[in-house]
Amino acid sequence: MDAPLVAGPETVQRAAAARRRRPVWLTGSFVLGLILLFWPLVAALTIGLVVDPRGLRIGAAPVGSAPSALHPFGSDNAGRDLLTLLAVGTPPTYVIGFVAGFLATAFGTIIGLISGYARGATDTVLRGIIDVTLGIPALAVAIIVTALLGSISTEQLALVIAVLIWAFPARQIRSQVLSLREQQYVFISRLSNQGSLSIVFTELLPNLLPFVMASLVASISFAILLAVGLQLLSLGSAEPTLGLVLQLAISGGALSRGMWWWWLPPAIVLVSIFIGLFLLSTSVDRLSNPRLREVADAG
Amino acid sequence: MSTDGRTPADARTPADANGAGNPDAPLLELRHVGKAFRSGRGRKATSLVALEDFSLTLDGSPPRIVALAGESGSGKTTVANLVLGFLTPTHGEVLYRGRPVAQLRGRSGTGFRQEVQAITQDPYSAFNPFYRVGRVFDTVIRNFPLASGPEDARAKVAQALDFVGLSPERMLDAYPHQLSGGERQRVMVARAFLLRPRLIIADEPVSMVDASIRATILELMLRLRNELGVSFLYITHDLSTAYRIADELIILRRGQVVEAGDPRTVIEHPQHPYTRLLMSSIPIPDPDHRWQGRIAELQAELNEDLEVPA
Amino acid sequence: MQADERTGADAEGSAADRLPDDPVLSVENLVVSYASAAGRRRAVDDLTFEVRRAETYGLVGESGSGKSSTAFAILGLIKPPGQIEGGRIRLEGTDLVGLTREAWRPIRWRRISLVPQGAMNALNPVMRVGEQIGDAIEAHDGRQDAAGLRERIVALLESVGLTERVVRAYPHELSGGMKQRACIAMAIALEPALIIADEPTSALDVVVQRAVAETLMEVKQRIGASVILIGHDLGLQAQMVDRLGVMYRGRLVETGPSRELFHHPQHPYTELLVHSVPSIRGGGDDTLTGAARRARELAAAADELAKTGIPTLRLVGPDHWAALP
Repeated sequence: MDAPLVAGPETVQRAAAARRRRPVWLTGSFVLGLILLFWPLVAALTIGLVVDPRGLRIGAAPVGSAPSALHPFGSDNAGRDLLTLLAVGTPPTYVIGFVAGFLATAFGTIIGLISGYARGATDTVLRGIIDVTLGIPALAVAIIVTALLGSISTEQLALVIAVLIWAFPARQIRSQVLSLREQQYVFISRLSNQGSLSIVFTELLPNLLPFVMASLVASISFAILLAVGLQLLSLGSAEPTLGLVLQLAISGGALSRGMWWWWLPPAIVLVSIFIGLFLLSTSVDRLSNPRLREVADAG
Repeated sequence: MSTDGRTPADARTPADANGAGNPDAPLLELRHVGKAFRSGRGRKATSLVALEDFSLTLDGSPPRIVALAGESGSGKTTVANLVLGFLTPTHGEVLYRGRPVAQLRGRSGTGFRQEVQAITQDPYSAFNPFYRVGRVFDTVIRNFPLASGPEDARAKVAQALDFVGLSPERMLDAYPHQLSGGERQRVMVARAFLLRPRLIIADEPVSMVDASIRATILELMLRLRNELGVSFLYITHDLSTAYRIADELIILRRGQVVEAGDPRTVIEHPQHPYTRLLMSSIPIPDPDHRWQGRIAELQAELNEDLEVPA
Repeated sequence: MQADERTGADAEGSAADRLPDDPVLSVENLVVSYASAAGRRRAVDDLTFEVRRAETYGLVGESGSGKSSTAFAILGLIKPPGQIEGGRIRLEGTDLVGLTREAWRPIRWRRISLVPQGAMNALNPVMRVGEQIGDAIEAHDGRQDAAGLRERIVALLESVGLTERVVRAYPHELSGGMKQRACIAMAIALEPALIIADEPTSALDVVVQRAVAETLMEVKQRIGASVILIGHDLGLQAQMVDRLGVMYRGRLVETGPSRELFHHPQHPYTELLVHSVPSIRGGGDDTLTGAARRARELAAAADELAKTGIPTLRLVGPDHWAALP
């Protein structure tokens, strides 16, 4: 009776489970999301190789000029070459987003794991810290901090942001751990003399990967959002960034003066990044939402 | 399934030389154990009494199967967790070979852990879906002094799987979802065989397994007792299986022992009203022996309230 | 098994034990399959059986037997990737296969209803029980006047042994047995001709199980309905059913009066199931080792019979059919 001739729902579930081992999130929308997210980075890095950094200086190009052969993206009202500006200003946004996102997710996951598994006093303390951190309005604090610190490097900004957003993944992971730890295989592990740390990292973490992935995408999104928000307020680093360009464009009256080449490219890039992140997060969401059972319950 | 005719003595592993506790004391002893769970804090704290004045002695030689039967909320799972050391009693003592379990868990942890094992109810969640089935054995071999080297380990695992009638080639590399419930439960029994414990807490080991495999699993438990000298605390709500396999039967209700004794006597001549209610409710697989009367009337007669709303 | 073959064979059997009425439910050559990575596989394979008026028919089988898929098919609940590939399901003459949602509306709850496994899935945790029953009634029987509806709900609850206080209670305030009885009340609200009870007592304690089982039998008697009792606990089946059907790998391997199957099982799988429940009636002459060995032998025999395709049912006793060569 180990290999039935006709497949009952149990066999179909096994087949479905086997299918789950293939990347189910590798859908069209995931690939599209990746493209939308990364093409600006690829473009910027490539162009950055060939571009002349002197284009960043004021007066490098005729002031407020429309796109031309010499300056394909035109120039802003201070005569800076916009192509150079964009090529140099785009990558830092990614750096901030990814560094902050990874840091926040890694730290948040570890805290969530420990808090959810340990329970008792440890959990109470950690959960308190998580809750308090969640209550902090990230943008407001980021504004205050960056305003106080003045000009800081991209890496430092990433760190500031990570400190503000790690609590989201922590809470997510903690609640998953709370339910996972009741699984019988955790009980069996304890019976097999496995240490708590080993259980947390070798038994629970692999089953949490979908949630970690989802948290990662969410964290990166949030980090980029915060970073651009700060840049639009001309806070954060003084280096040229996407947000800064956009901010200058708006305050420089690009809209009313019809200088579309100034505000449109950064806007397009930002929109593309966010749509890309959105698509990624919805397709990764399928991973952490195992409604992959299309079959009726076992009979 | 081969029986290799080993006596309990040769089947034991080096761990026994420094086995946990005092070899002369009974294997397991619970003395007037009470367990209450508190929730909430301060004035709004409520206390749920899971177990009250519970006592049990399991000698261990000769090895015995003691069945602890009860419905949900009877406290039987609490007893399991107390014996395994995952809970500490609010009152009374839980002693393994004369030493409190709480002590043993901490220090000579390895000895106690190896000697007191469990077989759980749900074969589906007993395996981490991320890893192959073989890892269950790897973990145990890594954490306990069971084998002298990788060759010996392989041989011992093969022997354990052979005991339960499964083939290592098929099992070790498979993923849990590729196995049936019955196969998974047998792997759990093989794991127990590998560990050579003195006491196994079997918590509803057959309730989630197809009826056709139940007898096989129960038979494996009997063989563990007969061939390896393992005693069992068999926790169940199904009295028919207890009848089949137990040397002693204890009926639990709402944390208290209601009746205890030889299974045949308790089942065929129940004394306590609750036991009588229980016996008359068991559905007998024979259309010629249907329930007599109505349970509501029996309940009123015996003055036992059936259901307590949550 | 063709319907006409069966009638012909019946004529040979005793005419006296054939009920005069047409069957309430007639399932003919039902095939339910599911799409999977390995192609389409059949969960129910050419199933034919009938349920007669006012009888309790037990459908038993273990995991993978197809009994739940059968229940879903009868209730029109098979969704992709599952599909009814063929066959007919006739409820009092109406073919249920391929009906549209609209066509199902007058049928569900009025002519056929369900007592599900685990009341958790059936009862809405944020609605009071009385409201839920009221909703079910109004959804299938049209709007009712408030007073009349309340009376009806109270009467229904009382008929399953629940007091009026349950009307205003939330599901979490009730015990498992009470919740299950509330589900039974919902299932009989519109007095359907057929009730499908899918393992209605599986999560309940044994004493409560008996109470709920007895309740189901009582209400069934009162409204003259037929019941299909799906499960794998043969002890319970023996207590409750008039006739029994045993499913194995998607096919019916034996069916007939319950006494016949329990005392004279013909198919090895039936014998396996019947004997896998240790009886506490005393006797106990059968050792565990013997029982385990017999179970394995019977399982092997059943497997053997199934290797070249499970044969069609043939008559082996009074109203008793088995899939033997």
